[in-house]
Amino acid sequence: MYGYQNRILRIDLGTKNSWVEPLNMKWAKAYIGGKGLGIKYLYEELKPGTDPLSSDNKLILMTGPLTGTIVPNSGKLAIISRSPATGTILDCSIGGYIAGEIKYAGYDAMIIEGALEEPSYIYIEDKKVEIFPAKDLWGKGSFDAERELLKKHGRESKVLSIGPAGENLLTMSCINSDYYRQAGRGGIGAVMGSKNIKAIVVKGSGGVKIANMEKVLSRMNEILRESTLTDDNLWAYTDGTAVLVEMSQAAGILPTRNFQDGTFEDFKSINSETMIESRFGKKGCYSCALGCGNFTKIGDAVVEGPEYETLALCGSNCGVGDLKAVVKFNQLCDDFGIDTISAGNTVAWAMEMTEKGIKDFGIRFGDIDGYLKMPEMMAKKIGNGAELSLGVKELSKRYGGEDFAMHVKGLEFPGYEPRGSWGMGLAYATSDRGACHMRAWPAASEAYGDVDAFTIEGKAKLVMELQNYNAVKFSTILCDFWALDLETLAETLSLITGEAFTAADMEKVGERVSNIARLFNVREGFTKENDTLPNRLFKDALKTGVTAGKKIAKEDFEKMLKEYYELRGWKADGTIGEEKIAELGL
Amino acid sequence: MRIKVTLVGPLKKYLNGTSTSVIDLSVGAEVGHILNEIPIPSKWVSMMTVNGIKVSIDYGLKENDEVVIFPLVSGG
Repeated sequence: MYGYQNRILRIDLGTKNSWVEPLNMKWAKAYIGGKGLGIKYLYEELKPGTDPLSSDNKLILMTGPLTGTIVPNSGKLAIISRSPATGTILDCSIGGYIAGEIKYAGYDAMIIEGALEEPSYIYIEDKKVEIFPAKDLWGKGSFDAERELLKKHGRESKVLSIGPAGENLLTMSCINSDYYRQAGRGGIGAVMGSKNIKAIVVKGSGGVKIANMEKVLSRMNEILRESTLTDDNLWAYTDGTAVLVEMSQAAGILPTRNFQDGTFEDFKSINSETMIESRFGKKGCYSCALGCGNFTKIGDAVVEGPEYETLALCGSNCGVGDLKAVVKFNQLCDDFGIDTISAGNTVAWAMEMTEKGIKDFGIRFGDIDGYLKMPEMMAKKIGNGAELSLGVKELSKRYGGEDFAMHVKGLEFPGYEPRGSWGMGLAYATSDRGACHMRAWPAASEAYGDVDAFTIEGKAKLVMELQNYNAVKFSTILCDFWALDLETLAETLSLITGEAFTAADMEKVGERVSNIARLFNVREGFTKENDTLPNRLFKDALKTGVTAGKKIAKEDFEKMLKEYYELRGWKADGTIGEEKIAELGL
Repeated sequence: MRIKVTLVGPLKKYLNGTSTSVIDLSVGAEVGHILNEIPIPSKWVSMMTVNGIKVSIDYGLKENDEVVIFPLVSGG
C-alpha cells in the first residue's frame, strides 16, 4: 500500500541499539495506523502486568498512511503506551509538526523500549540515530528545552519534550511539542521520564509515496472545499474551542467549582469573545486547513490557547473568572509539562476539600494567587504540590472526598457535566483510557443539539457509534476537528494508499480498534466494576440554569451500561468473549 | 417586536460579517423564525439561546429578547 514507509524504527535504550524492521502489513491492513495499529503492537508485545514506569513498558510513536501528505488535517501523531495514571491502554494524539517529520525521516513508527541510565535525548536524522546527554536540559521547562534543541539542531528539526513534571514521574504529566501542543493525558510524560528521555528530536529529508499524484492533487482539492472548509468545521478557524464556553453555560454543563454546578456566573470573562480581544495570532498544525490555534497575550501571560478544556477545568471549575489568570495557569502547565485537565480537576478538588474542612490544602475557589503557584509546586513536588501531584484518585483514597473526586479509573473529567448530558456519563465510564471526551462526545448532540440530554434512550448506540468513528479516524490519523463522514474518509484513504476502502470497511476498523483497546484493558484485569462514575453524579443535583435539579439515577446508568455491553457483543461482566475476538480477528 | 440577534463564528457571514443586529419580528414569532428571516440554513446551526439559556426551535420570543445562534462544533 502507498502512503506507508513500510519501516519501523526500534530503539532499545538499555543497549543503546537501534534497528529498522518492516511494518507488519497484515496488521496495517486491519488497523490502518495511528491509534489502532499502535495499540495492536503494544497488545502483542507488552507483557500483561507491566509496570507503566518500568523499563519494560514501551513508548510507541505511530503515524498513519495519510501523515506527511497533502491530506488536510493530517498532522497528528499517535503516542501509545500503558498509562501510569490508570494502568489502561493509553493513546494520545499530538499536533504540531513532528508527525510529518517522522514520515520524512523514513519511518511509519518508532518503538522505544528499555530505559537510559542518565538523562538524555534521542536525535533522529533520517537513518542516523544518536543518544545525547541531557544533564543540562534536565530540570528545565519544555519551552527552554525545545528552544535550545532547535538552536542546536536547526529550526527544521521537530521536538518532543517533557518538563519537570514528566521528569518527576507525575501521573498527570504530558509530552510537549511545538511549544504549546501536548500529548496530554494519562501520564504519558512520565513514561518518557521513567526512561530518562528528556526529548526526541527528528529531522527528515525524504518524502511520502502516494498512489496517483495527479488524481490525489485534484480530488483532495475538491474534498478540501466540499468537506473540510465547510461551516460545520470553520468554528475552529473563527473562534477555536473557546466557543464552547458560552455554549456549555447555556446548556448548563459548564463544570463549576469541582462539578458542583453546571453554570458559572463569570463565564463571560473566559468566553471566546473575551479571548478574541487579547488574540494576536492564529496557528495551525502541519497540513492543517482549519488553524484552530489562538495566540492569547495579556501582560506577561502568553499561550497558544487556552483551549475549552483549560478554560473550563482551570477557569469555572476552580471558580476563577479571570482570563489572564487562566492564560497564566495554562502557560505554566505547558512549560512544566502538566495536563491542564487533570491539574484543574485536582486543584478544584483540593479547593472543595479545604472549604468543606475535610483537609486543608491551603487553597479555596477563586484564590488566584494560590492557584497560580500550583503548576510549579505540583511539577516539582514542593509543599502541598507534592500531594496534589498525585491526582484525585490517589488523594481521595488517602483523605476521603471520594464522592466528588471526579475521575474514572484514575483519569480526571474533561469539561462536560454528565448530569446535563447523560450520554457523556456512559462515554466517560467506557472510554478506554479513563474519563475522556475524545473517544465519544455525545455532548455535541445532547447539550449543543436536539437530542434529549436527560434520557438513557438510544445513548448506548450513540456512544458506541461515536467511539467507533473516532477510533478509525484516529487510526488513519486525522485531526478531530475535520468532521468528515466515513465515505470521505474511505475515499481519502483509497486515494493515498491505492487500496480500495469503503465506508463499511471504516466501520469495521472502528469496531476492531475499539475492541483491541478493550481487550488490552480486559487482559490487565479491568471489568464492569471499573466502568463507573463518581457518586456526585448520582447523589447531588445541579443547581442553576437549564440543568437545575438534574442528576443521574444509578439504576439508569447501570441500564445504559448493560445495553452498551449488549450492543458491543461483550459479556455482562464487561469482558470480551472468544467469539467476538475471533469475529474481529483481534 | 425588537429582537437582538448575535451570530457566532462562521455564521457571522449571514449578517455580512457583523456579529450582532437588531431585527423586527411579528408578535408571537418563534426563535426558529429568525433562521428564515436572516436567512441562515438550519443545517449549519447547532443551538440557539434566548437571554443566555438554551431553547428549542419553537420557543416563543418576547420584545427585547436577546438571541444567540451557535454554529456546529465538531470534535471536543
